[in-house]
Amino acid sequence: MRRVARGIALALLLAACGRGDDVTVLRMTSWQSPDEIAIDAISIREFERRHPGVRVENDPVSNQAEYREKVITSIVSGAPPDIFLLDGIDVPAFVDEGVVLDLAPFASRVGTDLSAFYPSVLAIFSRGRHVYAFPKGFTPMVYYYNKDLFDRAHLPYPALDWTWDDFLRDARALTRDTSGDGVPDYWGTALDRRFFTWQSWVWSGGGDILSPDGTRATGYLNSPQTDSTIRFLTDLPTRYGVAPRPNAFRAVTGKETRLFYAGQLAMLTSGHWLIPQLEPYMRKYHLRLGVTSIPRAPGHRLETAVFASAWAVPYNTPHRKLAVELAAWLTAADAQMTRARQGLELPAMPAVQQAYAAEDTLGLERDFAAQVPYGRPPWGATIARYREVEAQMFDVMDRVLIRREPVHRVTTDVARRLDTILARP
Amino acid sequence: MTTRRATIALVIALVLAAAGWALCAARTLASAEYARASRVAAGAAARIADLSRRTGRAPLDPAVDREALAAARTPDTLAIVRDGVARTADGRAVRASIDRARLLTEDRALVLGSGARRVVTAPVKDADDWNIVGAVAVVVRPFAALTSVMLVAVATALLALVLALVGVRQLARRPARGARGVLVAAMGVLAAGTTVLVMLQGAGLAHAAAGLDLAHESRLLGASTLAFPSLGWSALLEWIVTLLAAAAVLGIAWLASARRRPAEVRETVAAWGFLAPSLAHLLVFSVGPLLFAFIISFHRWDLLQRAKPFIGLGNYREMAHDPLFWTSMRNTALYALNVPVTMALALGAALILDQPLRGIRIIRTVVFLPYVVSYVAIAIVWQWIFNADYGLLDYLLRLAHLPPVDWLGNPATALIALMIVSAWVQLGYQMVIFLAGLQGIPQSLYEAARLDGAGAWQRFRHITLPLLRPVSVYVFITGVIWSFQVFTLVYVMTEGGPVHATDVIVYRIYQSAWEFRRMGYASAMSWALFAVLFVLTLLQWRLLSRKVDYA
Repeated sequence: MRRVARGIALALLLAACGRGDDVTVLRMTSWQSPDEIAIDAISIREFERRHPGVRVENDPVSNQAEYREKVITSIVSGAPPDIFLLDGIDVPAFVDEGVVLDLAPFASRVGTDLSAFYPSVLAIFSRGRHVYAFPKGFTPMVYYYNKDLFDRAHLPYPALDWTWDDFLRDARALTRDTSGDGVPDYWGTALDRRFFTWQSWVWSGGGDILSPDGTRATGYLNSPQTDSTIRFLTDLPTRYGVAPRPNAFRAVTGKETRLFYAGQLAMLTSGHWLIPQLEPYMRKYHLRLGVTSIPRAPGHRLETAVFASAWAVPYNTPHRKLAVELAAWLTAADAQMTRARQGLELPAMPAVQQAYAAEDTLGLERDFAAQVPYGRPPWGATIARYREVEAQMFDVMDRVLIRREPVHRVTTDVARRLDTILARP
Repeated sequence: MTTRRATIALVIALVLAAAGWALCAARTLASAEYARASRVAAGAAARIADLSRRTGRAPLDPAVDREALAAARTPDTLAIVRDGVARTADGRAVRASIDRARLLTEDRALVLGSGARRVVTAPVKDADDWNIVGAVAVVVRPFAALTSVMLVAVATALLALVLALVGVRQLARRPARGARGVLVAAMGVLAAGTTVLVMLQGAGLAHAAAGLDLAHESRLLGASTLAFPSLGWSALLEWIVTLLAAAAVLGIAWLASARRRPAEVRETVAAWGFLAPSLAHLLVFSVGPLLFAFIISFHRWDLLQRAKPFIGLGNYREMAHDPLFWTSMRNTALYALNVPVTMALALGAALILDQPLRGIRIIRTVVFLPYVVSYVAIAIVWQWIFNADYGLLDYLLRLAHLPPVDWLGNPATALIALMIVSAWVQLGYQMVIFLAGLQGIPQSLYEAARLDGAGAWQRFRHITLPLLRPVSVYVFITGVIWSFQVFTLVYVMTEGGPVHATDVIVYRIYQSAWEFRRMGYASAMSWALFAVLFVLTLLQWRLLSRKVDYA
């Protein structure tokens, strides 16, 4: 009994809360993978070397949804990270509410030349003269194609300026059933229901999903151009049979990418982030790949969505100066080059991009860079309710593909729902 | 152990515990005071920066400082640090040794000086908030946190302590109760001490929050409306303290209302001592959030937006017209249909595994295992089993020359697929409950029935089933409640798809709150779910309180 009592008392006595040492700790967070963290660690160590008494703690959350939860609650509860990775599509939410610091006044003091960035990429994180985050890299949406499959079908490689007709002709020629079981063993292409993969298709088809000011969907999502794009895309797995049945969930199963790695899928839309996964296949298994643009409808201009992320500083960081310095350091030319070499994304600075393209050994960077002039910030970069809009877009594909409803009825219905969402204060 | 020795042990423990609590309390008060002082200092520094921006004068211009310090409206001694000397607005020097170099390089609140001459400083920066040019110093007042609310808190805790001691004395007269009694008394003391600590912590936090001028901060940020937490910490904590004090008063009233028998007092004290931890937990982590969600549900509440306007029943109205809400409610209700099926299977399994066979425990464990496995792991494995291209289930179907089914990709089968997983998980748990129920049925009834010539089916129909009724009701209702809260399977396996076929209410709440940042709407839906679960629980109470007839 006595021992128990003494134990309790001791425990209480020792419960007196400990204190940290006197080092200034900068906390950063992102949704980056362990591999990416390792890349940044090189730059971070150098930052720490130049700032004695400062330690940088990198505390990533790999799941993006949970990441947002964590960043929002930590900022709102007054315990913000000093810098955090801001996704282009979260800019309106964070910027409109004044949650992130305007970095423009500090840029010159931390040695950041804002004109060194691609203007279209910087624009995603800017509002007028205000810059709310320093971009660390970006990617346009492109089509990867398997050169061997094209060669085997005696097809010329896709031109950067190709149209839907070229795309469909190639996809048909590339789809082959070699085993004779009625199911193709080689697919021309694949359809991904996630909106970010087909947003560029809608633009390059001459349509859009929202009015230019982002307040209405009716008249845009259900316009003849957008309808015909959706019809064309949903026909790929059904009417034309050139793509496997798409995965019915928001999460990816990786089936399409696996087919692509295995050389059984000829054309796949994705971003630069696929390169680190592709590289071993290209180097080890001699997968020969090319990169080309999203096909456009005849008579319309190519426009491709540009996805970017950038380091932002919460307004309430206790270490404003150090935080801005760190954000600048991680997006400086050196750090961008370090990142580019790992292949995850294009550097956000043209000069770095050129230097990197010069040492490119996979032969894809020139074609990636060629997409930049056609880049356009996705809707997520401009409207605050984008997450809700994006969630509704699954219904467009699903209702047409799974329930086989007519395209126009679906788009009109979803557009009406989007109007309500966008009209909400 | 004799009671005397136990009492000595308890007194020693108490003294040690009191020392620990006193230390921790002092530390809490001090750290709260430092937090508060640093916030007051930061507020004043922000005001100086704001004023200098608006007036175009330097941040350390005496006129700017005077105006900013006057506007702070705090009883604290505020001083401006220039060139290593801290002076108040009227020019008085504050006695504190200030490390100038440190002040100008560290961009954060600092505690400078030592002993009674301690100050907390916040850096004052130049017009564009970059270089540190000076600081605001706040003289620390260690006992400023002792407010009247706190005195009530301490009084309440002392009362609890006295009650516990009364309990000890009563126990001392009854040596027979010995060690157990001491333990009970110790629990009471522990509860009292913890109460003091929690209250001190609360008061300290409230105190620290008081140094934060929310309205001013939001103005500095250019926002026109109310600042972040509209229900502030201090208000919440004062509520908690008040409630606890009220509970103490009730306790005194109960003691005073009649001359209680010592045993009664002792039992009550012991009972509340035992109840206190779980009660506090329940209040803080269940009742509190529930009420908070209720408040939120009447607001348009975006975590990132400073303005959280009251919109009355707006969220509830929207809910009534939201087709996705009704779809998810319907899906949830359909999903709950897995319960009777699972129950039938679980009862079957229990009947089979109720035999005294060799290795039966291993089989029981195997059946129970899924229940204790991580849901995410289960979901991922079943995702693979259900896969239309290489899944195990379709492989078996193909072997049996049956057409393959795209279990998760087809709106007609996706929910059923989830129900299958759910049944697989719940089977073991329900089986264990049924096993316990079966073992509680008196064997004499079966023997009597056998003598009367009842067959196996008749024995099951007329003895087992009726006597299992309370267990069945329990399993059914908890199963349904559990089904209404399904989330992880949906989150990992289908994300509500395809075409909302597996869109269940908790997933909808999650998506609204965290993906769409609509806390108000999510709270309204949570309350709808709460209403359903509440009705189900009431039903369970009613059904369970009926007696089973053994006649």
